[in-house]
Amino acid sequence: MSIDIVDLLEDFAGLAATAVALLAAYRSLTIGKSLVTRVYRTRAYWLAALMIIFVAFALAGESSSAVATDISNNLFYVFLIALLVFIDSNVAAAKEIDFFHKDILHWHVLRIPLLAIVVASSVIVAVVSAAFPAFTNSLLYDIVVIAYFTLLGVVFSYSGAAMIVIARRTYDRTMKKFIKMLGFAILCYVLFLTLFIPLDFIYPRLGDVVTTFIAIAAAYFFYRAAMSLSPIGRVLEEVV
Amino acid sequence: MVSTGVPSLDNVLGGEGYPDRSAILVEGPPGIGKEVLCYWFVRSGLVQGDYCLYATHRPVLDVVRDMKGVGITTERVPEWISSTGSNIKLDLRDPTSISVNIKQSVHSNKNRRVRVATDLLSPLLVLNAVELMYNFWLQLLSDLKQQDCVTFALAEEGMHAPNVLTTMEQVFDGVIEMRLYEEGLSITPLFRIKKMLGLPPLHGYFRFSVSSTGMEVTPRVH
Repeated sequence: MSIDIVDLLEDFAGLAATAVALLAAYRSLTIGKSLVTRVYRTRAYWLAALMIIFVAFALAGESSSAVATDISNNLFYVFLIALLVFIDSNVAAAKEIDFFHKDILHWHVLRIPLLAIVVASSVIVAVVSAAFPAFTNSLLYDIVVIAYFTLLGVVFSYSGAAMIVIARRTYDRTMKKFIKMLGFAILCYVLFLTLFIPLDFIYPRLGDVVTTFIAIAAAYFFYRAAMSLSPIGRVLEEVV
Repeated sequence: MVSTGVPSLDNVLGGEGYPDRSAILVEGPPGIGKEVLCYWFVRSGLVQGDYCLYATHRPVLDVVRDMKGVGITTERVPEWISSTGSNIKLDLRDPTSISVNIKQSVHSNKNRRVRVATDLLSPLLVLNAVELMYNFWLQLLSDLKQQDCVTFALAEEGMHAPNVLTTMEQVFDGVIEMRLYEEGLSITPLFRIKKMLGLPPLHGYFRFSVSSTGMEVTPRVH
């Protein structure tokens, strides 16, 4: 019986995360279409693209076919690389609108090495997993995966810290709120990455449920980030 | 009257545009398109042979690139006051020098009609006390009006507390607010005219769209 509840919870959480991510993608696209300035419009379209990858990743993961599982696995790598590039573009945008053009945690020096580390490690893990299926059952593979997720945790924690610094420094309240929400979404992502492996070892089914709920939180913060790109008012119907 | 540079907005404002010797404030969140209204205002002045002064906290090249992006090119160029790429240098930490530079430039062209466009209101408000800035703009705008000048200023809604913007609105003769509005599931950019010298209160909202061929304003029908 408890297994059924876990199943139900997981299905519900997966559906909710996908729905929130879809709404975030839709809102981002409509807001992006309405904005004139390139810096803000690009933020909206980036967010929409990320959410579409997120939804495709979630939907492909739900399928039982081997092809869909492969697609889902590859979309995971695409998502995290896209997320890092998006973070980089946000740092650049924040610098562009900052009157005094301050550096943020030496990001301009570290951005290329960080991206190279994430891309290289993702490619290695993806290729090894696909080319040597037997190796995936070995202890060495487990160590490689733990090292990979730890690396991702470190890189995205640093990225999250950069977002927090931007949010604290920028004078632009819109950008401040947007970056703050994005920072929370990234923190959820770091939590997801750091909890996924240990929970997967201890109790895989519970791990799936917990991480899917974290995915809901991440999708929600991405949605809030989209909605904070521009204050949205309600039309007051006046009597003329 | 001074054309806004957007014929459909001129119609909304009674057919001819902004009042003579006035100061217009356009407020709204970043990215909504305030600058585009400003660019068309400057372009209209350049085409008509007015002296146009553009005081900006952004590099001149960025502004020019932005103008081209919305389809604005003219043979004439405005006089620039900027920290990068202009003859008259801008120092955001020195409001007095900004005021002196603007007034000197305007005064040296006193035989022509003058248009001043600026996005300095928000950065100056961030760096200085509200009371100081209220007096600064009150004095500057008053002096500019005496020189037959129409001033067009931009304010970033997200950078100031609402009461600060309301305070600054008092200094201006016309206030236009631009922002996104939720209409069902869709989100639409609208603007409303909060006040305009010489016009009765204008109720309702107006839709606007920006493309590389121009800006279009239409009343919102509900």
